[in-house]
Parts: sequence; structure tokens; C-alpha cells
Amino acid sequence: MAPAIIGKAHSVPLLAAGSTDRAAKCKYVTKGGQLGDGNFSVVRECMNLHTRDLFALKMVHKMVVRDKMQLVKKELKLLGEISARVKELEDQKRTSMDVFEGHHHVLQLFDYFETNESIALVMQLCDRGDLYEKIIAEGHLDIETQVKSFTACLVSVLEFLHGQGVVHRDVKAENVLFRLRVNTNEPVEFQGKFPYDLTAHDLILADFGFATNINPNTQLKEYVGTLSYIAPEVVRCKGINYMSEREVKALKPYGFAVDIWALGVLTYFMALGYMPFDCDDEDETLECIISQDYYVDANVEKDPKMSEFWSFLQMCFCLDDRQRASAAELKRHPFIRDYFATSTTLNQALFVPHPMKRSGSSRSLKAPNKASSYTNITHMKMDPPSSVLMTPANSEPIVEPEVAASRQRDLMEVRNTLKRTLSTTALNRELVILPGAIRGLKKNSTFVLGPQPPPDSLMNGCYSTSPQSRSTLSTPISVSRETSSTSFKVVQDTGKDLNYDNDEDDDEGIVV
Amino acid sequence: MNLELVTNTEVVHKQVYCGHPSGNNGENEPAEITYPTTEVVGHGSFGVVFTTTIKETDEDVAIKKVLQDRRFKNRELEIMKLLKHPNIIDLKYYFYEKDSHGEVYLNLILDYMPQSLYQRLRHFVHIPSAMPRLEIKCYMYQLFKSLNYLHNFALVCHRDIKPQNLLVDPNTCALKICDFGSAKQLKPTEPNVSYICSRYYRAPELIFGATHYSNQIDVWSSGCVMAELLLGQPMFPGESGIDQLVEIIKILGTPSRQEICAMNPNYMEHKFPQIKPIPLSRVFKKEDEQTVQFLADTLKYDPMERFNALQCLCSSYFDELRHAQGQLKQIVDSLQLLQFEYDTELAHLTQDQLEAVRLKLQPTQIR
Repeated sequence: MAPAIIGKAHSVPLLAAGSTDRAAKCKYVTKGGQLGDGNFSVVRECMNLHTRDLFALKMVHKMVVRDKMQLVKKELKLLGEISARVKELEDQKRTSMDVFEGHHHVLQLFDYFETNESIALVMQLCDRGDLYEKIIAEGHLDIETQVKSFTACLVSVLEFLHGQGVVHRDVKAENVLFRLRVNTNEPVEFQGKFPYDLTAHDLILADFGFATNINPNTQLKEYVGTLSYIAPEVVRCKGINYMSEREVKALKPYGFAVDIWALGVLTYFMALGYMPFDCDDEDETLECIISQDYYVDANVEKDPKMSEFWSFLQMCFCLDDRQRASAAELKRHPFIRDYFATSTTLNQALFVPHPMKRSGSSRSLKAPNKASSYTNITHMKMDPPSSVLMTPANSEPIVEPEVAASRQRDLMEVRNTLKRTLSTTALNRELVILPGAIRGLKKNSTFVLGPQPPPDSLMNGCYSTSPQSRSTLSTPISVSRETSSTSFKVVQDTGKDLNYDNDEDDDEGIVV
Repeated sequence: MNLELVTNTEVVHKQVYCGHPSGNNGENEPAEITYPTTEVVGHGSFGVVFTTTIKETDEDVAIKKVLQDRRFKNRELEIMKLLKHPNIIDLKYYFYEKDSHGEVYLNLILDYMPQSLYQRLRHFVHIPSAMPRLEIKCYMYQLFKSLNYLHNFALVCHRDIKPQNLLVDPNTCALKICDFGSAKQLKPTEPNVSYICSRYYRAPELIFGATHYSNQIDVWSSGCVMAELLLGQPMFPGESGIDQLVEIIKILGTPSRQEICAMNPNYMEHKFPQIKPIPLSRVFKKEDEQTVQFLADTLKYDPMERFNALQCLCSSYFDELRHAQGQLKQIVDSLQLLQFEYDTELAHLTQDQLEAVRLKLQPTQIR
């Protein structure tokens, strides 16, 4: 970390290279009311004074996160990368054949800066509440019109994130927000076939605090997430701090599949209004998770309308994380298949029903408390790179096993060559013609790409004064961007990108 | 959309145009029809579909309502007006309609068929059992019969052959191609967009981004459809073009330089690792030799080497239909599978070719 210029820990610049006495004037003003509060932060509505665009401002108190600074930086870096990728995809005008575009439903980071007290993240404004509140308010969601479409949307998001090598690790109702509907199109209802709640287009997956990149060198063994939502392979990492080196080595690293498990929990919660694994105490809950013992209501089990739902859950609640379906595979499941153009693939494995387990343990079938993330965060040293098999083995019995390995390598190489050489224009535009049904539904999308900021409206991590608070932000639209005053011009003394030194990070292990 | 139209069973009188104007009235021959409104039964590509019965003629029809999207050139109407073949959905009438938002919809009144080949296959997968091989053969024959007409007489390339766009009547084994929303009359000298055709059914030259492709892309798609009917699942699945191509290479092996050149000469310089092909007889272990050979002839990298629609019809795979006995013969006769109309199906052949083709296609017919 940068040397402490001032004694107080919280005023040490953590992001910016510049020193505190050259703090730039903040280009954002906040509105008083809180939109929400995370574990270490408050979220307020704010406005960029240059562009007059409204955003959510997440202020993370440095005092609170002092020793978890690295997590904030990681979140910033990931959000930045993801937002850049979203922009890139939009610029290429890539559209899938599915109703939902995964990258349209992740929180976009617009800007970030640092003040004396806080790290401030300027993000897309999602002020229509979260999924948790919606489920609690409605008891449970309607299986046909809401649960299916919401799940389909989240599957698209996970497919996008996992495709970018990012695992979220905290998928839960509280982290699914609703954005403001800004769609000017007339809603296109899907007459007859599958009517659905159009708010599915407003879902946003937020809070990338636990999200991380997975690459061949990562060995995820941290015990993080939210108790009710964690996967069995994460449960096995509990108490990793107290394990011996050998035990830690023996522990299998987990991967993208933890998000799929959490999605199963969330789907269950949406449909029924209570949690699948929650018991009266924590140990019992963990016990239920590792034994895949989720509560099955006898009446709901028999309901023929719910059979696809149960079968979908079985896909998500597969104990073996390597056998668990990927987001791409889940798209083909009959439960949500209608929302995806990939539906023509008939994956036999998806239809094999597993015998339903009956729970013996006592359950609290009440709605859960608003969960706060299970913050047992450990920081693991990276093991030397060893092969992490994230992709399910390709079962192709046609080829003899001894030939299969070299063949697989060659196929990978073919794939890479194709990826390199196939004209991007040819591939990018291949899906422009969508099936009409889905194309119509795409008009319901409320996605708006974050505004392209004029260069001088950004703080880019620089050190600044705290944003002023204004009681009202109702700025007349007539205040055009051109006329907005130039007196806020800031000497961009940093402009530096977030550049992390891993060695540095490793030094400050975070143990709660 | 017009919701009242969907909910009530009111009867609608419509001023419409005939699909195939007869003679003097010129392009737009008006007609008047009456039909009860019904519920939307499906969402075809590009629009909603509902079925009803025309009172005047007592015909069962499907009405396909398509939003006139200005961003895409919709040649569907022009092309549909051209086409008349027993294995192609017939355009009976059409009319335009404006909704309350001023959006213009084109309504196509078409032949009614009970289900799509996709639904038919799903039925068998669900049971689960294999689709009867003879039923597959009947469908494939009719598919290639219609493609022969499309490619050689109408000079139209469908460009979106897939199970969803093939409508069938399982009781009679009849098949008709529908959805000409992507169809186009290809001209050898003019480039075409390569981003057509649905995933899994896209010919390799399309994935390679070729813009000078030919009608042969429909033959590849048809081969994929047949493989899917036999396997119960798509033969070359893949989320992206790259994945689909990898799936193709997995089975057919790395294309040779010559084959790459035939697909898209721009990719000549790239070197790919050599993947050995897997013989199709091992992929389709239970199928007989003729079936496997027929698949091999339709799934060829080089579009010129790939059988054209008429060559496909002449394949010995279909001999079983030509020498049918008993119940199968009844089906063959009732569908008039061995009837060919010279003007629209064989006129492109030279005299010698014609003789040979006739001998092959109509061996039992006395002339």
C-alpha cells in the first residue's frame, strides 16, 4: 500500500496515485435519500454535473473496509472489465437468438473516485427495489409468468459472466435489482404461448463484491457466499483457515457451478417463498446442503404444473459440481427453454428424473431474513498451476480412448484457429435474423447502455472532495450538455487505471 | 396487436387479394372471404399464426400475421406468389392491416397443416422411441422434391430449412415447406448475406462467411434435418458458428485445401490441424448402407460435390418408395410421390439427362 502520509488510515489514498491535498472537486452531487446499504457501503442517487445523467453512487467507507480494501479494488476492477465488455458487445451489435441478452442484465460501472472517507462507485441506477422485496411482498412469485422468465434472464446473465471467466459467488434475491423501465417501445405481450411478467427485462445482477475471475491458475477454496445459497463444494471449504496444508491441498477447488447451485436456491425461493435448505440453525442447514436434502412440499411435488420446476432444481442441486449443468445447458431445460432459441437441442440427460429425496429434518418454512453475505472470507495463497477441469468431459465414445486425448487437443486447436481466423463480421452478424417470436420480445428490453461519458466528466479513480448533497436532483432536461459549466474542469492527476500488484495484495490477508 | 380479434369468435369479412391471380385482373386480384376469428395457435418465425376456416370454400387455413419490418427486406410475399407445388405451403390470399399504432401487418392466408416436423420429432423423443424410418424417408423425399422445384424452376433458395419450417401431416405423411421469410432468388454474380439460416442447420460455407453461396446450402440443411430425425437430436449443435464448425469437423474431419477453397477462398491461407473423419456408419450404427451413403452425399463440405436436390431424389435411398408394395404404395400413390410435372420439375434437364432421370424416378410408370 501507499505509505501513510497522514496518520489516519482512512485518508490514505487507496486508489489514486495523487496525494490528498490535491483533491479534485467532485463532479457528482447526491440526493439525500439512501437507496440501500450493502455490507460496507451506502448507496445514494447522484447526478453527474457535466452530463446531468443520474446514477447510483455507492460509497464504501474506508474505515469499515480498511482491511478489505483489496476486495473493493477487485470489485472495481471486475465491474470495470465487465462494463467494458458490455460496451464492446453493444458496439459490435451482437444479438443472440434468446429473449434475454445476458450482458444487458449486469450492473454497469460508469465511474469511480475516492474521497477522504470513502471509495465511490458510480453505477447504473436501479431504484425499483430488489427481488427479495418483491418475493416477500407477493408471498411467492407466479411460476408461469414470473419464475420462469426471471430464471431464464438470470441463466442468460450467468452464461454471459461465466463466458467471461467470472464467477459471481453471491447470487441471491437481494442482489437482483430492478432497473427503472425506460423502454419507450410498446410492450409486446406474447399472446398465447407464454405470457410473462415484463419486469423480467428489468432484472439486474448486482454486487460483485465476491465475484472473481477463474483462469487455469485459480484454485477457489474460499468459504464465501450467503449461507442459504452456498453450494456443497463451498460448504466443504468451511474452516479452511484451521486446516492443515495437506487438508487444504486435498480440498477440491470449486468453480462456476456454485452460481448454478445458488440460482437453484433462488428459483426455489421465487416459486415457493421460502428457502430450500434453511433449517433452524446453521450447522443443520449446512448438513442439508451437503446431503442435497431440500424441503419438498408434498402438495407442490404432486402438482403437474411443477414437474418441470422440480426437474430444473435437480439440475441445479446436483451434488457433484462437475456434473452440475452449466448455464448453457440449463437453457435447454424445458422449464425455461421457451426463452431461448437454442431450444431445439434435445439433451436427453436433461429429462432423466432423479428420485426425489424426502427431508427428515425440521424446517423453518418462513420467509428468510434478508440475508447479508456470509462474510467468512479467507484469503488463500495460490497453489501452483495445476489443471482445473471446469468443462465437463466430452463423452464421445466413438473414438478410442487413447486416440481421444490427442484428438481433443487437435480439436481445441482447430477451435482456436477458427476463432482467430473466422472473419468477425461474418460471425457477429450471423444471428441478426431472429425467430420472429423472440425478436418481438426483444423489443421489451429495457436495457440502456451506460451513457458515453465526455472525457472531462470522469474522475477515473482520482482523489476528490466529497460529493455535495442536494435535496433535489430534478434537473430540467433543457440544461444541455454543451452549456454545462466548464468550471468543474479537473486536473486529472491520476488517469491511471486500476493496476494491481498481486504480491502487494497477498500481504494483507483478510480474515474475519 | 389486435386483441379483440383474438378473444371473440366473431366472423370477419375481408377484402383480400388472391395469392395466385388468374389472368386478366393483373397483379392484385381482389376477392372477398369470411372466416371466424380464433385464437393464436403459434408463433412462426416473424409473426403470429392462427388457424380458421374460410366459409366460402370450407378450406382450413393458417393466417400468418407478419409485421412489415422496414429494416429487413421481406421478400416473402413476392416469392410466395410465385410458388405453386404440392410440397410447398400455398398462398391462398393476402391482405394488409394497420394496428392502432400505425404499424402495418401483412396477413398471409396459407394452407393449414397440423404440425411441424419439429413437433413430430419431439413427440417421438418424448415417448421415447425412434421415428419410423419409412416416415422419415417419405418426408425427406418430399423435402427434396420441393427443393428441386424451388432451385430449378422458381430459382429460389429457401435459406432457412429446419424442422420448424417443415410442416407435416402424420396421418398422410405429407410434408410442405413453409416460411419463406429468408428466401431469395440467388444470382451467381451478386453477393448475398451469409448471416442467414438457423444455427445447427447452417452449411459450412455460410459459417465461413461466404457471400457467394448457392442453393446447395438448402441441401446441407436438409441433410442436417434428416440426421436429426434419425438421431433424435441435432447433429451439429453449437452455440456459436465456431462451435458448430468444430462439431462438423469432429465428424467430417478437417476440410481439405480444395474444400476450403470451394467454401470460401479467403480462408485458403489458414492451416488447421488434421482431424480424422469419423465414418458416418459409426455415427449412424443402426442405419443401412444406403441411408448412410445418402447422408454422406448431402453433408459434403464442397457445395459442388454435395448432391443437388434432383440427385438426392435419384439416390438409391429412395428406391424403397419407388418399388413400394401394399400400404406404403398407397401412401406413395396418395401423395403422388412419383408424379413429376415436366414444366416445373424437369424442364431444366437436357434430353439425355431427362431420359436417365425419368428411368430412375419413375421406374414403374408405363409410358
